[in-house]
Amino acid sequence: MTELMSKKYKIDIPDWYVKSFDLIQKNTNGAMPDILKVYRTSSFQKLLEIGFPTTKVEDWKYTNVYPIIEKKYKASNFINIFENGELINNVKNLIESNPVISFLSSFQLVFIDGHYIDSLSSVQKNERFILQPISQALKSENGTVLNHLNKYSIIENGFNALNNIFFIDGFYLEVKDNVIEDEPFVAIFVQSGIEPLMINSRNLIVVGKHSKVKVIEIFISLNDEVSFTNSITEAVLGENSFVEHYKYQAESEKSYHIGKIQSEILRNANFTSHNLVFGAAITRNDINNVLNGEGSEVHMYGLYFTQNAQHVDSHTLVDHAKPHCLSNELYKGILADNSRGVFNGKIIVRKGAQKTNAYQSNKNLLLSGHAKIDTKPQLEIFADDVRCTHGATVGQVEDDSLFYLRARGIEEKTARTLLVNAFANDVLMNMTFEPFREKISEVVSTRMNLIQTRSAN
Amino acid sequence: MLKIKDLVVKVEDKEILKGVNLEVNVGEVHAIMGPNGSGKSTLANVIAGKESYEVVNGEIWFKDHNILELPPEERAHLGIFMAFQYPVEIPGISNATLLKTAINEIRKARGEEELDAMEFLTLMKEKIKLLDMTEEMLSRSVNTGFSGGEKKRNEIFQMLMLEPKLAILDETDSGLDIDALKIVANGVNLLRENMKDRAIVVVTHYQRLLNYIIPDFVHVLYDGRIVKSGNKNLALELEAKGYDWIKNEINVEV
Repeated sequence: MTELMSKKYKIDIPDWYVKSFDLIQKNTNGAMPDILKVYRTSSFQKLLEIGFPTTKVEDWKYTNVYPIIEKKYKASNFINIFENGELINNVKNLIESNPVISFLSSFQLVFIDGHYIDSLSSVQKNERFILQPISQALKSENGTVLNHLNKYSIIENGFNALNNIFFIDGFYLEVKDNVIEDEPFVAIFVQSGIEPLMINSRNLIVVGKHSKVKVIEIFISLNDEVSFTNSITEAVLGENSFVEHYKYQAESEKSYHIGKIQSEILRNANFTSHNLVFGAAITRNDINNVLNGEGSEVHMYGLYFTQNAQHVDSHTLVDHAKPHCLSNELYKGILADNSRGVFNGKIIVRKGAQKTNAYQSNKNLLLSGHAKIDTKPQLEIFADDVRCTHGATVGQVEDDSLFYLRARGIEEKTARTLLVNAFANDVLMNMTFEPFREKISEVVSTRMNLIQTRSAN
Repeated sequence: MLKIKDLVVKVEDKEILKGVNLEVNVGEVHAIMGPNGSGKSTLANVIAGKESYEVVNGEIWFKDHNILELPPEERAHLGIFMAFQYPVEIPGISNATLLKTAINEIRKARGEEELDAMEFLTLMKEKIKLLDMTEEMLSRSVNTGFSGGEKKRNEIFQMLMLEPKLAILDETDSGLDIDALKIVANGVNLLRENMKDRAIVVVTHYQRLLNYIIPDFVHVLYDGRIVKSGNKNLALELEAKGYDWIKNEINVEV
């Protein structure tokens, strides 16, 4: 690649990243397992080489990350949360007062700006499962952590490399074989917004054979300020296991969110992902799944509800690596004001992955003439005995439905909220954790009511 | 109760109603008949408040209200109900949610207390039996996956729940077999048991529904105007002679 060509496809790494890298190399040298140092160094080389993607890169065609990169943040590795009792107390109040999360489980870890907060968390360590910050798991020399960490997520772009280099902490969930647990495992990531920070979190889920669990990741902000969250979760599902994963992101609309969920799904296992996006100025989620055992399944459900100038990019990938697998996907978007959505659903069916069933659907509701969605299926099929369907729709609230409800005496605003809620519920109904589903449904109604009140004034 | 004066309505720039006059008093059942394209459904929809129809001239009064100035929901609050010719499917909103929201909004608008959940459920179960429908349909999405007949019965069920002052049935009989037709007519006649503060307008192409819902007055709408009015015998005459009879009569007059 010539110098000119590479300029076109990459945004060079700003200086402060390099300085921050030098700093963390000095600061944390002794404390880290050697393997992480290796990852860090090699990832840094990779980052310098590939930089951050421009919109000339096909996978980033509709998402310009320049607004994220041009800002200077402090790496949150260098801040000290623990001495800030007032901040911790504010976060405690935030969690207790937020209706979506206040009722959640006792199995709960809380992170502020990427740092694990022991006083707000409850670590679980028993013969059935372990839920602890990954920093502790690494220190305990738990072999399972090192066997799986960074084994599934490859560096696809500069953000992935950045995460390998700068991650501070995250949750580690290890579920032994034959464990069925109804209570969800919850990780809450709070941006404090006390200064512009770059926050890298790294999570790992390892689930044993025949086990069944729910995991909920929550991303919220304490203040309406700028920060940049960059999170990766790797999940490996043992044979016949069932993991229902929820990610709820409602960060400040001034902040940026880059997220990746990478699942490895073994024989007869089922990974079900619910990706719920309400927050951040720019959000990019990559949900990558490898169906790596016969009879395995992945179900991907997504709901994005954007307003103002928000931008949400959902990239999903299913890699049908083995025969007799099923992938099923429904992503729905509600876009108001000048907001913008991107959906890209990639399905790869490898040679030999016969009897594959793959379904994909993306439906969008535009609430304003200025909102926009770019949606694209991307199929790469190398086997011949495959059933694969995909479809995308873009529409508006239907006048006929609206008139029907109003003719029954329902006020226009209420009718619109009901219709938008019905649109959302079509995907939310797949959430088996009912109390959470109801709360998310309320979030949809609340936002819809606010948008209508705002545009009426 | 309902007074329509010189109503002229355009739909997509085409004049559909060309000066309709109609008066419906408390306690009366009126049938509006006419061939396809005569403007029957337009008239029903304009009374209900469909906004895509452009009222060029005329007035519609309901009691003391000039309802052309009111949005559809406020007309419903006054007690106007239209059973749709083509009931809309709304996936994701259950029949129970629709009715509960509607009833409570209407009660709120009238300054009445909201119905509590138990009262509401009891009421729904009581009314749904009358239409030979199962309780299971209450939790199903509005009209979604319903057969044509089920949709029409659902309209009548909603009507019985909302107990309107003015019920307008827009071709509720179309597409119904004789058994379903009887059930629907029976539902309407239940409403008719108490006409103290109520009137009913039945819009239909065929006479057969009027065997079961016997009207006090029959009007023939043709080419956007009411060209003939009479009692129930007019419907029978129409049935016997066909709409060509009206067309010929009009042409002779012109």
